[in-house]
Amino acid sequence: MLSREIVINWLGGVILALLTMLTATSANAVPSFARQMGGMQCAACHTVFPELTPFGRQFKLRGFSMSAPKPDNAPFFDKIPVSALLQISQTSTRNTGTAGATSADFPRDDNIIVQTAGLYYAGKITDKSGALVQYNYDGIERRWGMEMADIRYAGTATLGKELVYGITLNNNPTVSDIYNSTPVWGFPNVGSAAVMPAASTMLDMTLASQVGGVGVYGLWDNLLYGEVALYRTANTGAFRLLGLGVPTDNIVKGSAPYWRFALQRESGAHSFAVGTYGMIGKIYADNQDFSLGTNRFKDIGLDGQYQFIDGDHTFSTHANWIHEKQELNASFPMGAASNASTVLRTFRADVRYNYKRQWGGGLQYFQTRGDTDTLRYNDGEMMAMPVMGSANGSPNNKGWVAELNFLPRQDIKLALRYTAYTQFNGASNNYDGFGRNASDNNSLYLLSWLMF
Amino acid sequence: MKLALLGIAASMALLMTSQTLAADGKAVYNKSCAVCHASLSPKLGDKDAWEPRLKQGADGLVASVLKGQGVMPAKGGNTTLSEADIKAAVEYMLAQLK
Repeated sequence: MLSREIVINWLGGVILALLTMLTATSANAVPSFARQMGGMQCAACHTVFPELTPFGRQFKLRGFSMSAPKPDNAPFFDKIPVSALLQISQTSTRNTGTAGATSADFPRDDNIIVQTAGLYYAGKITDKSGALVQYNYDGIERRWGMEMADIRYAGTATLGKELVYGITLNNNPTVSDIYNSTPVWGFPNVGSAAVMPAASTMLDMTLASQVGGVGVYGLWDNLLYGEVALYRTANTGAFRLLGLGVPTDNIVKGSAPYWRFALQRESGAHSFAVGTYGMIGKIYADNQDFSLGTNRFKDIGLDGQYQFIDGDHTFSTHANWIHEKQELNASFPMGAASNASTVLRTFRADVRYNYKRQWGGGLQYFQTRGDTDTLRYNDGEMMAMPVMGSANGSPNNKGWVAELNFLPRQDIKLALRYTAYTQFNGASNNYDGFGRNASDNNSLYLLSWLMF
Repeated sequence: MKLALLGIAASMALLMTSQTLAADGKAVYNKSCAVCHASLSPKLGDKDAWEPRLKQGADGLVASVLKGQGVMPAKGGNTTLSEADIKAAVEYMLAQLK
């Protein structure tokens, strides 16, 4: 049941959304991309933003640089590649009052917050280059930072068939990906302020805005996609700007190779893609003391997606599996891990449907499983920790996400999401040793997402 | 004489109408189609790329544009286009293959 307070707060968010809607000048996401394309509608590139259509994938591959000629008398704002976003949200956790829990464990719970407020550079730079760069205020972390950067140069050649190729400079593995099955662009697209499980793989947003990478990619005959890249820490050096304002909790030693290959096919209203991706990286066990050495992570992922886009109906389904081998060459000797080597596996699958690009939603199943490690998944503590800890040292978690969407305009998304855990940090009941159950971390999330 | 004048007037009206349609198709193409068909297949005037699509006929192509197909978004990403606009643009693009 929704409490009266939540409903009132949410109505406030909706009113703000409607006010913004009335003052917005266009209905296109990302609006500056749409202006660049001569007023093209959101639906050309997105089923529901940010999920890409086949055309949206082509636009990204071609370096965000496709554009319609601008008449000399075009309004000033039509010529500048800048857009803005505003996300107002509220996260309500089911139970914040279990033994040992403090308000510090749920810092923004039940508050309406400006989750994200920021600007995009989204548009072409030259006839063959462009960028999607997002710098914003993060209302959960309470800081400004470089949320996303993907700067591209692209061209075409003929190798029997057409080859679209390019170079990308970006700040997060998989942000350069053109599919919505990999972590950065996967459902449900926006995180909440709720408590998160202790374990996640390196490729699963762990390095977001903490690295910079240069990659080359190509799509041959609209059939075979490949990308290889090298990532280095954004803590120092040339990539520092790509992590501007974001704390570098995970510092990569040297270069971490990333790869991605996929086979795709489009036929009428249907499109399919299956692929693999992965990364190998050494991350310092202590980001303040490099003398303690590094842990080595090898992630290998398999993913696939199917899209059906026909008139008023869009349907898509995605699946993603990541296997991570962890060689804890530094953490184990220093007593921060119980094992020298462990494995972590994550699986997610979702289905999404939308009617007239206006009403819709999605359902996701998620699961992470791995070797028990009392120290690693209990935040380095031998004793149990309330809320964030794992009494049995298991990283296992699983559950469901259900989300409803309403888009009063194509550039405004209202979302109502419920996340339900059936297992959290290794158990369904009393996972932290203080009587807290996995379902106590279930959360309701309300979001107004505006692009203008 | 009157009959001849009427005939000339009717011919001119027909000519002007067909010129208007052709101009509209080109205008729609330039405004809403050229941004993609200048760089994505099938490009304007590329007979080889268009050949397999011609089997659908003009009506079939118009239907594909209305609903979207493959990389092609519905109505070319411009939902303000009418079916007549799309038909005119398709006819203009087909005329470039002759």
